[in-house]
Amino acid sequence: MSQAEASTTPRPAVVSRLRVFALLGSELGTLFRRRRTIAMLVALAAVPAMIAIVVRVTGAGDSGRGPAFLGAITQNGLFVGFTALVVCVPLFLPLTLGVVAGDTIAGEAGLGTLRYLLVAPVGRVRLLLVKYAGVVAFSLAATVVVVLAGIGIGALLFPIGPVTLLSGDTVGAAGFFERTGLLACYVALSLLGLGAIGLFISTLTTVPVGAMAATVVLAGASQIMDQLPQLDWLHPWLFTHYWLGFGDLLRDPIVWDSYGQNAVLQLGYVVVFGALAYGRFATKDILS
Amino acid sequence: MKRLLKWLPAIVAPVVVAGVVAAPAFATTASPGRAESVATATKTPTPAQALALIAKAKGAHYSGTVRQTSDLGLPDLSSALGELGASGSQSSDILDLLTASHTAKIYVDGSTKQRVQVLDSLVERDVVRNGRTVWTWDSKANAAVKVTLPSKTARNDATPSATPQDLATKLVAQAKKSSTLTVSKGSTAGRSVWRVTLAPKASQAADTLVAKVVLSVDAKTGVPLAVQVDAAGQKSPAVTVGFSSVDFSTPAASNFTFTPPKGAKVTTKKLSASSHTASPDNRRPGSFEGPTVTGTGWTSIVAVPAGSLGAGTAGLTAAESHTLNELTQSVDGGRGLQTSLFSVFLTDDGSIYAGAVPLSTLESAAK
Repeated sequence: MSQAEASTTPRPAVVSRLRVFALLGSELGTLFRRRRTIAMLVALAAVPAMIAIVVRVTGAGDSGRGPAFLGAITQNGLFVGFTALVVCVPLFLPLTLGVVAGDTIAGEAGLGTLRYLLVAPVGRVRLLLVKYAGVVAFSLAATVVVVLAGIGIGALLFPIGPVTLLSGDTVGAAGFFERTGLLACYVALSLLGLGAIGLFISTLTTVPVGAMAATVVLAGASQIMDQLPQLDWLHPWLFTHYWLGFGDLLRDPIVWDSYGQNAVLQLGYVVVFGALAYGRFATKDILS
Repeated sequence: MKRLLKWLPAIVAPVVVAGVVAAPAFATTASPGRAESVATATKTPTPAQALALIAKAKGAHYSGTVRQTSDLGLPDLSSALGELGASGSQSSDILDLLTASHTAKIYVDGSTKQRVQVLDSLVERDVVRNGRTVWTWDSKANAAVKVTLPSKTARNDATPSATPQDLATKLVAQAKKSSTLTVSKGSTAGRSVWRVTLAPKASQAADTLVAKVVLSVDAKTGVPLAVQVDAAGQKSPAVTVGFSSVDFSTPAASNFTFTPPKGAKVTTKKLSASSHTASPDNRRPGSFEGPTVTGTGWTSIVAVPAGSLGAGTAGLTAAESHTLNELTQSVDGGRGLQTSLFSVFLTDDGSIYAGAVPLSTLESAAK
């Protein structure tokens, strides 16, 4: 407790701000230099590569089945990125994010480094915020990797051209990259709620694997509940409810409804589970 | 005590979030009060006057989001329909509308420019009308249909003699034979509306499955903003179609242009002036040759003789007939579909009976 109080004693603002950036920089450096993080990003990039190669080799045309946009790939390689997102959003993205979010606090505690971090001295709130910033950075990086890998491999293996939107209109390169950017932001935003839940679970335990598994299981459970018509009233409250809503950005004009609703919902989850994580982490006796 | 203090945000946060979420809900419950103050300024119209408002709205321009929900006591077949939808079959489209909820964007600029954009997860269906050209687009099937309307529809020639007021009065007189009509104030999508309620008269109420039909007409512009159909003995409405938000400014012209994308299947159709007036929803299969109507008002039964609907159930694919069997129940002399709002009876020889009555009534009508 004494460390936490020590960090709240007033000190020159500039110094403390510099320290936050230093902490954030070291956190991001550690996160993205980790072999596990790199392996996860490579695995995510492998999803569009696999899709593109399978479609290229089998030459499967538009059979009308399979994930959305799959049939369009042979005509336009840029659709590989969208197809990969549709495939990754329900399982692979939450899986990798669950690993990162579940590891935040529990990982440090498990390694016995959490104590030393707090002795540094780093305030507990600050540590929590920096850890969450790392989760946000990873969710954005993971989404961008999937989309860019998809566009890259698609351009390599298939002809590319103006992209047909869901509304039947076509957009050129500028419109395509604008919408792809919005789409990547949407998907990264969709994962913020899950990230906050993972952060909270991570403060509950010193076993990182347990926190990771619990986070991933929750993402699965929420998606299953979203499928049950009996739980209609609950659906708009589930953090996975708008995960596939990014299709609204591929309409003309763009339908912003789901973007706004998703942002509000995710913000709600971040606030609630962030506060829970603070409550737990600030009152916790750090023993390891 | 200090420990408790640190848990405080965790206790306060859900309350704050709930408050923020509930605030719009409060605002909408509060708005009827505001809407009422507008509505009280004008006298409550008679049913005929309220319906005449709709005709006034013919040239109106607006856009908005429409939400459609169905609760007909049918199983949600969206997973089975996913497979059916791939073939782009028409029966799956109709079933899809009956069992699932949909959101659509609607753009209207006068009586010649309209667009309906049905937004489903990662797919879209569009109907775009610009003058005499109507395009339908299905992103899943990657198919567009272009329909050219006749220059003058038969209906346009027939109506000029009747004013909207006359038409509404006639309509109300017709409806009054079997129904009671009432008008009340309400609020839909933040607008004050007149709610015209049609309920079956006591003599028919016991025989029909419909409890009431409520039509919400915008008090200012006359644009119908919502329709709700209640089924007898069911708490939640059987069908609702209504605006969740509406904007009465002119929609951008780009909403009414459609160019089929490269690689799409494009079909062109031309409707002659003599054929049935083209409705934007031109998806019904076959031609309805000689259906007969028995009964009156709410208890009417439509009978379609065998063979007039093309191949009937024999022409269905395996997946379609599987869905049909899942939906319908085996009854004496055929298969029956019983929903909370209407029933359909398919006889073994291919005739179809339908009406807003219990299935047993259809069975006896078929005999």
